[in-house]
Amino acid sequence: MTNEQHETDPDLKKKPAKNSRVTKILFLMLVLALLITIFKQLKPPTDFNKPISQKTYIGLPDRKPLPAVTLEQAGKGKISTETFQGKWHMLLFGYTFCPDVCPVELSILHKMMDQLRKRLPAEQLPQIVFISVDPERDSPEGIEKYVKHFDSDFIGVTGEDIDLKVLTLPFGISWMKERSTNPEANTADKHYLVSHSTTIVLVNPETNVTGFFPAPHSEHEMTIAYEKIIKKEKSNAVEK
Amino acid sequence: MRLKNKFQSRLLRYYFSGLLLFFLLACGANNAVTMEIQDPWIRTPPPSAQALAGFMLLKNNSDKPITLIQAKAEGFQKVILHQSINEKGMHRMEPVENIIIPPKGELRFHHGSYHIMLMGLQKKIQSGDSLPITLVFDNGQEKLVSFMVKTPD
Repeated sequence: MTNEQHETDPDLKKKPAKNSRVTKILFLMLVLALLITIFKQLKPPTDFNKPISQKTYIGLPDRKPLPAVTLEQAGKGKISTETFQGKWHMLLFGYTFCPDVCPVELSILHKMMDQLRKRLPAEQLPQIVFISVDPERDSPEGIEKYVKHFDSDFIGVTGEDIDLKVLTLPFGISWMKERSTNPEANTADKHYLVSHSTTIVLVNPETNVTGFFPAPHSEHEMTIAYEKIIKKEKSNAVEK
Repeated sequence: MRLKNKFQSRLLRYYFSGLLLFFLLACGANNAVTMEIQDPWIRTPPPSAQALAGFMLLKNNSDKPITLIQAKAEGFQKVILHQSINEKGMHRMEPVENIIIPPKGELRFHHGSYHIMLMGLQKKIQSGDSLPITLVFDNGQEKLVSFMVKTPD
């Protein structure tokens, strides 16, 4: 008798115990879910305290002034890089005959701008400048149409070979016409390719180059990095 | 319930007969099914663009390697098989003569890698258009593929 009782007893107790365990687990899960949601809302949408990865942005220890050269922009004619003063600028280099890399780069920057426009006041947004290193084929009007296809705030410019060289040389940005890869190529061949750096140059409102965004680019990482960079710059200015 | 079952069994029958047909065709070593092209597309070009890039997935269903040797398209001055290369922050493109798709294997043409370079665009194209491109393989097979013009997400 006692034995039987002994056997049935734990069975009877087990059921409510199992139930309460399930409730406990459910409750814990609920609390966890709640905590995660609160945590997600409390912290900024991105890991703001983490330092910027060198893969995303390489800051220059000593800033270098952007060389003052003359470029050409559709509708404006000749413009000096000195007019970049007063606003952050991101410069990227390419050419409109580029079917793969340049369109992808420009659409990444458009997505970055979309994120930044939601988070920053207009005066803190960077001006994106697409600089064609192929002035032989790219007209200022053509470049302008090309970049506006991606974002109406982008501007496109080009310039004389010598000005482009002076502008980019201090920062290791380079490009090269690739006529050699095409055996039948000659100077009349309009279908040459241009190799070019994919690095994006960041210029501050004092027209000093502060650093570079090396490829491959991510709109998400660039958004966070840019926001951190300009905030830091601001707090540095206050300390001074 | 019964009707549904009847419907299902009929579906199943169709499915198996379809499968049988497929195997029969495959056993017949029909060239048409050895190379399969999936998701052929071209990035919507900006208005002033002169060059376009075509992307796709090539699937070799045969048990021999097949080499893509050429691409042809009307309305362009030049069509070349190309490869994008990114080296030490420099981007460049190179023509490639032979692109081998391994037996029972696949190869994807994608951003920063292989693409069909279409140069000297002679007419306007826009999203939603489709562009016929002929792919030429080393086994003598030519395949006309319709490339969708679209902007990827």
